[in-house]
Amino acid sequence: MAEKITHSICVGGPIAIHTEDGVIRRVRPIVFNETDPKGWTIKARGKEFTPHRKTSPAFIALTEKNRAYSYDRIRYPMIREDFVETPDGQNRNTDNRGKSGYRKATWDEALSLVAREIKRVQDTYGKESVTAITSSHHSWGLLGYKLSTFARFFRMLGYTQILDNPDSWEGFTWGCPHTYGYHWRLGGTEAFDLLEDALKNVETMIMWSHDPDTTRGGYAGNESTMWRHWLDDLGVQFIYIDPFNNFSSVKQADKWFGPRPGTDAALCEGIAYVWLTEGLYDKEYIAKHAHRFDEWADYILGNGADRLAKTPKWCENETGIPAADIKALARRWGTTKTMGGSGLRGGFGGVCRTANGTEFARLMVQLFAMQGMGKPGQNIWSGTTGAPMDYNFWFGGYSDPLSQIANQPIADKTAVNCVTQKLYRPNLPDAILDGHYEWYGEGFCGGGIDQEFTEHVYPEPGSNKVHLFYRYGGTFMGSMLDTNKWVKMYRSPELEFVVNQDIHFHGESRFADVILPACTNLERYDIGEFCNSGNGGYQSHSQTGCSWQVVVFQDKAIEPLWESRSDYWIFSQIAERLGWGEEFTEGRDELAWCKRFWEKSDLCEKISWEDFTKKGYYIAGVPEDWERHPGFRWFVEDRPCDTPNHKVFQEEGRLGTFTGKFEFVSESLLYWAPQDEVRTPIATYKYSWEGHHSLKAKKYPFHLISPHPRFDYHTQHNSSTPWFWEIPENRVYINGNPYLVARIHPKKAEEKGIKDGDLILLFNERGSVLCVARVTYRVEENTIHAYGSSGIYNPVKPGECSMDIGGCVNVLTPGRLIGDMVPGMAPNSTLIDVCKYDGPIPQGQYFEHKLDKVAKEGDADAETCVEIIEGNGFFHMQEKIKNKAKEAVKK
Amino acid sequence: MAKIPNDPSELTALVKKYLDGYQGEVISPLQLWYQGLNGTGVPTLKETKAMEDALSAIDGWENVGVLRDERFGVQPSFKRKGKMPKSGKMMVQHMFKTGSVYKAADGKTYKVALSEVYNLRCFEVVNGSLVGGMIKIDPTSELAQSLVEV
Repeated sequence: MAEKITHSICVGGPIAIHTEDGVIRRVRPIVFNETDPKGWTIKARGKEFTPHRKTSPAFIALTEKNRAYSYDRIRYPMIREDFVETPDGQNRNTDNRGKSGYRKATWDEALSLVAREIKRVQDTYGKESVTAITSSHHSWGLLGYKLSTFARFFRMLGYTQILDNPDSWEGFTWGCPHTYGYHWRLGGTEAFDLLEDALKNVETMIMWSHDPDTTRGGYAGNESTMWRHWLDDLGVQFIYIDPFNNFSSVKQADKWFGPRPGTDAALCEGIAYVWLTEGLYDKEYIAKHAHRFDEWADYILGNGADRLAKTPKWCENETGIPAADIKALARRWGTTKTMGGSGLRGGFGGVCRTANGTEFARLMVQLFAMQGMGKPGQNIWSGTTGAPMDYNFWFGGYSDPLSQIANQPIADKTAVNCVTQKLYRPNLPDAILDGHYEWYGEGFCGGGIDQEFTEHVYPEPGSNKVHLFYRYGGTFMGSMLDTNKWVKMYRSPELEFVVNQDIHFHGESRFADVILPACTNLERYDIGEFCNSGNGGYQSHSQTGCSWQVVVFQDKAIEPLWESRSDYWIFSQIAERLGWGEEFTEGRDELAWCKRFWEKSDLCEKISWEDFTKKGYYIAGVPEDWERHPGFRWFVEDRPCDTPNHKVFQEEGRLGTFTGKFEFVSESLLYWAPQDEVRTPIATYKYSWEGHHSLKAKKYPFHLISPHPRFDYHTQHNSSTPWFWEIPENRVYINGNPYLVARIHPKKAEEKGIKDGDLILLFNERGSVLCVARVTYRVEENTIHAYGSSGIYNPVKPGECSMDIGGCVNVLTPGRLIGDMVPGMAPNSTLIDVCKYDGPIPQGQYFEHKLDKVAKEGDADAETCVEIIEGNGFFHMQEKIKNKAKEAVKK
Repeated sequence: MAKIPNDPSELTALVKKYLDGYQGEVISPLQLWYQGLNGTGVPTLKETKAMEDALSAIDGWENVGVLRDERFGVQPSFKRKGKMPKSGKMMVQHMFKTGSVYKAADGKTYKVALSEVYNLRCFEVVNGSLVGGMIKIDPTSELAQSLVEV
């Protein structure tokens, strides 16, 4: 059979897929041809810079073939073995969730059960008694992703929405709007056209808690990696600040500073002290653009309420960085054109996810303001966004309300949720277990500073509690904090029925009563643009993080494997059983929906539907003399804001704060939250509620930092891609189990009798995780580093709060919010202790037998999980598919 | 703290001077406090009342009750009577709000899908539904100039 080439807009970037005889042979980046436009060229410092003529997806995108044939694919609809469909929803052995095995079900049996339970629960308790949530980025595409098909179904049904938190950059969202506005960009800055500015002007890059080579991939692949190499070639000095000498740093840093975790705000204050005492800041700029600067300066210089000067020596005591180094850092930054950043697109700095995250983020903005933010070569810019773009070409991103099948104009009718009750994701277990929860804010919405202070209570007055939980895609066992709280929630009889719809048998799916197998991106149609998150409160123009604007038509590379189906098909079938199937589909199949996105955007003017679907992608070129709108330049030049995605109130050249200036004393916090002791009107370094000053530190002396992972993306790739386990910096195989690597400083390792490669137990009062020690000078002395959200949740006693051997370090992280009025999470404020592990070594993984049993029920000749992991099962499976395809051709 | 003059006419004059250069369509006493009077901290009820009185006394502005602002929340608000003349500096996003509906001289209504720098994209609204493909409107065209927010 001839080779077929299709394209996919999967997580990690667009790829081309080669398929032969119904089997995927390989996946690769898309290489452009002569009909595609030429790339932009930036001329700077006597050189010309232009991108490669191909997409640069992240390596996680290149796992798509493995993820399709993965050992842990959910192959069939499954029902928990001891689930009993009692008429009143009681006595369903909920305590066994997580422990029990499954039996194979037919699609009709599973879908009918789900529809019956939705109906029963809503008839009994009301519409609001159903709740549902997706993970982020287990899938990509305007049709299949969470804000489209999922949203359409649940809004039409009516349900209690669970608000997301901005889990990747909490501090920026909850802090920075009070310093410089940009609540509509979730606290992130405007980096438009700053790549050119950097190439032309910057001398120093400050990469603070920033590891772009590691974390940029999920959205923009490796598109910006080359930009940072260009800066290297131009002699730009890179300074990395991170308790872990991260992977970008070891490759690129001219200097690495490793502060004690949670003390970064103190370092900001120490730098400011040097600038104030040595006059190394832009006084004219501050006089014009800053509000109540002098009061803040008084605080730094020791004339504030605490009468404590934030000298480099004081800073050394907090951070562990020598005072001389702090002075040198401050002087370099204060005397050269400096850009940098943290916690924004690409960096996702872990420092923003600490108890002091808001204060650090605000101080970061203040430091850049002191150096004349917006002047050439002076800006918050983390080397990952701001490429030239044709702002006149429009194709929607996934958060654009106008690019979702839940809404017009893509749909004929907009789906509106009739339920007003809400829940908040980080505290969902608390709400279910306690039956009551209160919090502030609308979560991940960017709708306004005022909305940070909306008061919510669950259950909403006059509403009932939720009793049915529909979980779609990915797993919070690994990405949300205090994992054992989630275990307890799932075992609660309050949740009378739990559905999980996912591709792989990840941690959370193992707690469901019914599991519905979805297919991967390679097995379904979709459409979408590389790295375009849209303009629905998700930081618009994120596609400037790529060198190319690429819109992809995702053809099916193969038919859905086993009995998996597309998410759209699954929701359509349930809607049908609930009696509103026709309204849900509006008579369209998936391909017809894809076409709607083409015809309701600029794409239809650029390429015909036939040519687009045949070619598989479209590149929007950048005009030679493209429009330039450098971020913050308008502010420096005192003119109306000219950057895309700004607010009407910037038309007078003002920022989005109360005063329109950089607020060194926040008027919005004085107005909205004057009593808040976590996020004070003057941003200050504060001791963490779980840090080295805590009493708890005597018992648990190490800081665990668990940043966004290098070898995964929201747990979706590490679990399902066994070849990742062979990367020694990721995992180490011992006794058939791939243990996650945890890094420890040699001095501390010696004190604890730990050698490189030893099994070590990370533990605190919340739980314990077994890892393999990597003894390295790459971590700060008091730090244990183990990547978060990369765990293969694998407790030795499934369904119980027991030791984990899959590297789910979020078993150890605190479930509490940054503050009562700051609804962000803080995984990097975690204290633990560590010891060499001498206990029994458990055998292999604990969940595979459940899958194997169901696989054999469906096909006696089915490959087992272990056979697929080891390789022979993988080939056997592909051989069977190939033979089937050949027979079909013969017939 | 801002210095609110004791003499109401003095305050009204200060407010008028600020509003003469103000580009926006809506203002609240709280916004006026921070941006027009260089206030710091939270104004007292007495100061807020004085500002409301001053705003009420100025021609060309009317009290429209409470409106929500993304920064200040729900506030007593005053709206400019008539439209602010569009200066050359104004850009598309200042003239048209994404998500808002506008009516053209020929009676057709449009929902703005994108209003950004120089891009104005709409969908026609017929019987409450968005119909047809995405329409590009030249922001300097007569059609664009004739659009009135519904």
